[in-house]
Amino acid sequence: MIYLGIAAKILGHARLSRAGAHQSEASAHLSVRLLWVIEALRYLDAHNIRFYRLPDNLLAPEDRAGTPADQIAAAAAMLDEVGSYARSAAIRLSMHPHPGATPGAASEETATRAMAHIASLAALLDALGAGPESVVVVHIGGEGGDCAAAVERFAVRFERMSPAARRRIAIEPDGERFGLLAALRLHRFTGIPVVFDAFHFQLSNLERIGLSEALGLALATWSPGVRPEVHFSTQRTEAHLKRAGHGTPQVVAPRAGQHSDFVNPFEFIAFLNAARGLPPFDVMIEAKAADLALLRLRDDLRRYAPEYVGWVV
Amino acid sequence: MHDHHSNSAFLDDIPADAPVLVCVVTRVADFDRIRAGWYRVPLDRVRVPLTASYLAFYQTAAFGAERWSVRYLAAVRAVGLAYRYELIPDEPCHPRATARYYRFALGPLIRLPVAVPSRRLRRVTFIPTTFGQLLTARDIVDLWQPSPAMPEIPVWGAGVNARV
Repeated sequence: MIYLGIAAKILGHARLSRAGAHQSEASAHLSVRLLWVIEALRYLDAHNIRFYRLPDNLLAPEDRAGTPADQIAAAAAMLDEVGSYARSAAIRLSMHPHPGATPGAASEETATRAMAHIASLAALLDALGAGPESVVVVHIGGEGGDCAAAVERFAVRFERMSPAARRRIAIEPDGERFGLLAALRLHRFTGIPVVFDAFHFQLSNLERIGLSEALGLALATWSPGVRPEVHFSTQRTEAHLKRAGHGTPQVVAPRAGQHSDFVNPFEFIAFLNAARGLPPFDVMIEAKAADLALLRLRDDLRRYAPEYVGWVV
Repeated sequence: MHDHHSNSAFLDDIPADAPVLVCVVTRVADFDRIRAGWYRVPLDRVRVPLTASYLAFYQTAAFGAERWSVRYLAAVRAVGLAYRYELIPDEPCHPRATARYYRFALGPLIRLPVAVPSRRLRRVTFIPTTFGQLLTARDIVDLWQPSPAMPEIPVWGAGVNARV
């Protein structure tokens, strides 16, 4: 069985969507954001969506709301409520900080900030009582051309992190400089599990590894008994409208590496075919239309690959 | 005078699409608690999403000249959970003393420039709406109407792509 999941925003419920935008304001208290999360989990439960990436900005900036530990303590009751709801509805939680949170950064200051942010997200997952499958997915990061040095910096800094933070970290190849092999190398040094990202793999597969083999290598980095997390999205191929102030929207061609609004069902079916015989895992759908894309993908599977209905939820 | 000016400043700061939840207040003592900075909602009786940046208050027959109308709102500062006996310790034997409630910590009360009356509807529960609708509604039933000023969320190629 594969559970599909969505990341942070909810588009299929207009009120939740608007409220989410308002509550991402920096001044919103963690407990207020958690009330939104409970409503989001109810929506997911109603649509049988069992995998959810929490927004990475649940904690307000420290200069406005105090330390993450203080914020977590002040919202303890609501954290307990959210965690309890997620467990009762069997919704797996996950987190993915902004792309700048990279412990492999060349700048010590950037890396220190990144590790503090990762530690705060790990503490949040702990406070939610999330299981070991709930991870904080990060990229390696690091400027310059020396990828091996960035991997080593990450590994050294990883050892400096608290055990609680180390337990939650998972590493994701970024589709540019740090591909699957770099992530596997980091895994060898640290034991950090690797999140396979099918789209990033397509963008940067210099070694021309087969999809099934690559997926299997990533899945094998996870501890026995912990369901791996996998990311899936497809390349945007359509032009889109970009609003510039109050002027007429401009038509913009898609960028390489830009996620599509919805998922190309045939690419997803090919991915499922490649996953046959491999251990079970859950798939985070990283499409811009979020829950709408997931629901559409389910419809597409019913139409084009009914053999997977029941196996993919 | 000072209050009037600060109230106007608060109103100007609130975006028209800010989510507002209209709640019912049936007792003067509960309105005193709102003035003191908090409001409670029972967990087991919620039928609508409670997510809101502001709570507005529909006052029932107990409020004399202010009855059957929405006149005030307050910003939601934080949300907690507590048993009723913890929230209202002087009513330990209340039938719902052991029921759990969301406790909304509120900012100062803000008075609406024009009250929203309920000319016919008397049985009001929670109404999810927006601040813009609260400003333009002529009757409480208007709060349920979708606001014409509220654009639908763009999905296909027109803005969602800016978010991920």
